[in-house]
Amino acid sequence: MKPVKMKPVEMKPVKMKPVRAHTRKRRLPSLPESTAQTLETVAELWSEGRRQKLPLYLFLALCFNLVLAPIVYAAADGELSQTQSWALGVLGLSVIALSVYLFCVMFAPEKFS
Amino acid sequence: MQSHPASDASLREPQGSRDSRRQPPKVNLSGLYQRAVKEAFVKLDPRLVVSNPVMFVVWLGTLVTLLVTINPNLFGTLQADTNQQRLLNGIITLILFFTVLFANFAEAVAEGRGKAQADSLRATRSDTIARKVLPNGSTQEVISTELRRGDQVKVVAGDMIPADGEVVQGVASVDESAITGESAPVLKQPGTDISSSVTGGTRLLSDELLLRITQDPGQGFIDRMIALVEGAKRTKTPNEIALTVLLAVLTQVFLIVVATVPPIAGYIASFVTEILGSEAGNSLRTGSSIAILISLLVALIPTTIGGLLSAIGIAGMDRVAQFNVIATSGRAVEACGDVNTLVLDKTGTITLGNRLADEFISTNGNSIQEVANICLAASIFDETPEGRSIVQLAEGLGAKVSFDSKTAEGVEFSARTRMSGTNVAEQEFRKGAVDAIKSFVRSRGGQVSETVDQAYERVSRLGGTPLAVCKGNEIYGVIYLKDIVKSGLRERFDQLRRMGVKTIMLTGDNSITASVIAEEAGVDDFIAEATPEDKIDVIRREQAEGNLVAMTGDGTNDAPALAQANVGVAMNSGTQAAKEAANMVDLDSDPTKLIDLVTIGKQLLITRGALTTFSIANDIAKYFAIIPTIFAAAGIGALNIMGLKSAQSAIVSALIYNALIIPALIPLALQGVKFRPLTADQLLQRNILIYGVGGIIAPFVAIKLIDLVLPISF
Repeated sequence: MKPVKMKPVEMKPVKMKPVRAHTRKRRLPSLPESTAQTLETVAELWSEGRRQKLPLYLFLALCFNLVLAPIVYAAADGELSQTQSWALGVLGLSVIALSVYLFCVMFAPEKFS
Repeated sequence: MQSHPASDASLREPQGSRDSRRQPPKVNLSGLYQRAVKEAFVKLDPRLVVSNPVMFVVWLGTLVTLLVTINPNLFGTLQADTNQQRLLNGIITLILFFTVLFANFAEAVAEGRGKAQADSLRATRSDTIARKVLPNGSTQEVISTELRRGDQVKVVAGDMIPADGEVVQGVASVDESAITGESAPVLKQPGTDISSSVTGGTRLLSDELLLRITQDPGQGFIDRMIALVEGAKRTKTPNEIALTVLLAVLTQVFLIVVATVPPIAGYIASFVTEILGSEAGNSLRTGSSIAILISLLVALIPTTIGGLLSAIGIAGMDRVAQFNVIATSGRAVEACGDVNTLVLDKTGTITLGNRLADEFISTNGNSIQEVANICLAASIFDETPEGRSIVQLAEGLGAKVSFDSKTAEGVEFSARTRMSGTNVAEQEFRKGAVDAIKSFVRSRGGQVSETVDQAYERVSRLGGTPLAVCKGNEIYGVIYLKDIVKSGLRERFDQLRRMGVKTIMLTGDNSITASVIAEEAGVDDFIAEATPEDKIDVIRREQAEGNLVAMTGDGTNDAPALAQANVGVAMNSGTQAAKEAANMVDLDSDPTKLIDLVTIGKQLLITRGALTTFSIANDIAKYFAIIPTIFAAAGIGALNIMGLKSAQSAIVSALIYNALIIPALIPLALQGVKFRPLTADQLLQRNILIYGVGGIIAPFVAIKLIDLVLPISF
């Protein structure tokens, strides 16, 4: 019997992801891996979205602009391109948001101290 | 009349005036501006900018102008040359960016000073080796962070005191310059509130002390001071919040005005096109392009005060800290400026405080020698400076006690009994307030002769404190405790009166002494024979009348009044309870500093008011620079009263002025407007004249100069 040379096992460092207590990850075993990952990502985004409101408001504003931009485009009577109408719609919504923010500062200044 | 005895109290009172002795706290300010520049970029984070509505609008404006720099036709096709428009938009973007950056820089510089002070304090907090005393009496060397409340440690000459504590045994001098800047050593000994407390990080200069630790690691005085001066979680003060609301209202108004300009400009443009041709109409439409509208908005909103507001507040805290006072919050500093009643202790605040026995006055036909003997017997256990001065004066007269002090028992002074003394078998020796001693003597069946009242009145009329001494049921004499009113106080009180601040003197002395001292010092009102409870009563009464009250205190019995006052300043040499109840701690333990703190608070408010006036007045010149630009084609060129080169140059000049005025005013915001003791009306008139009229004229001159210097020509 020849003595078998044992190679030392190389331990590769494993990248550990930080545990996020506020997200509820669920593995869906019956679905294909890629679909399960996509669903997990959507679930994570959804739970994050419930915690952080700003991305949600931005998303809703952009959705609303899909209605606003055609109105701007129609009102401009061909003077503006579709892109310009869309940009102008976003700008208008930003001005309204800024105005709402300033009202918030006026009525609840402690929140901004 | 006896000569003034040299008291050992002089050992604890450093010689010379406070200002000549005190070194400013050693704060390393090197690299302050480099750190501030870095911090200014970090503060561009929108989550931080959002707390300042004015600067947030500028920040958003910068973002939008950046977009129109990249694509000048993003919000509509312009008739002007795209490259020229892009260049103008780029310049506007850059200036707006620097406006936000300068505002951040102002705040960072102000914060940097506080952080530098925190760092210098942190340096004194280094871990030291402490000699912990074990229950069996032996000592064990431990790291200072391992010490806990209640532990006893031994400190010898040259050692750093490992943690906050109180002296249990020994007498030694301590160098407290690390925290107070005071170079003269301070005597520490057990038995009194004031001189028995020691602070971690200070150094023992002579002898040795046995200390009992009073604070756990991280809870010490220096730790709390670091947290205070660093002010990482600074919240806006009520005045800052009110001003932020005003700025938000102005910003909202100008936002609505600017947002409604394009439809009006478009409406006018259609008429102009009909009358003057399409070129004039297009010029009007170009004039109301997004970048120019944003420039108009930024020029109109009060960016100067918006950018400097927090720096002014932080600098106020810093000025207080430079004065060797630690404020718990900006609110406390600001409250100093609003104070209209000062409650001051007589002893130590209005007078020098080291009351010493100057003379014994005999009554009932007793000899001075007999009075001296009784005074010595009554004061033998009295460790206060007054008590020791009585002992010295009596010993100087050859007085001796007729009993063995080991068989005697000391009776401590209390605010209720207002006397102290010695009990020896059946004999009772007492000294204290004259009426208290009279009551005591009567309670023992004794009589009080008229000579006592005569001596009492004589001492009182000299402004001294009379103390009666008795043995059993007989009053032997009266001690004249001499105190001196601090120089220059009358002028300070006159200044405060002109500013509408009322001063009330509180003293435990009788009404004759109190009135003499009050007259000499020039206070508005006094309360004689005051007990600690009277302090809180007078504060509540003043507050009920709508006044804001400030007071100083150092003892545990001052703690409720310090907590009740709008501004409570505790002495660093005072008890822990007083320091915790107060919203400011004076590291020099100088009660007179309360007057300076009121001045600093008022200076803070005046500075804020002056810069707000200046900022709003600035709008007029900026208005005249930009409006003619937008409506030039509508025939309002006459409004270009500054004769600026071109529309573009006018906008850029106004914005450059708008940006540069922020760093230009940083020194004024940090140092504060020069304080003058004037009434509110006089201050208003002065502010309007200098900062209102000046705020109108200065930008006209500056914008014209920038326009002349600028090589821009589109």
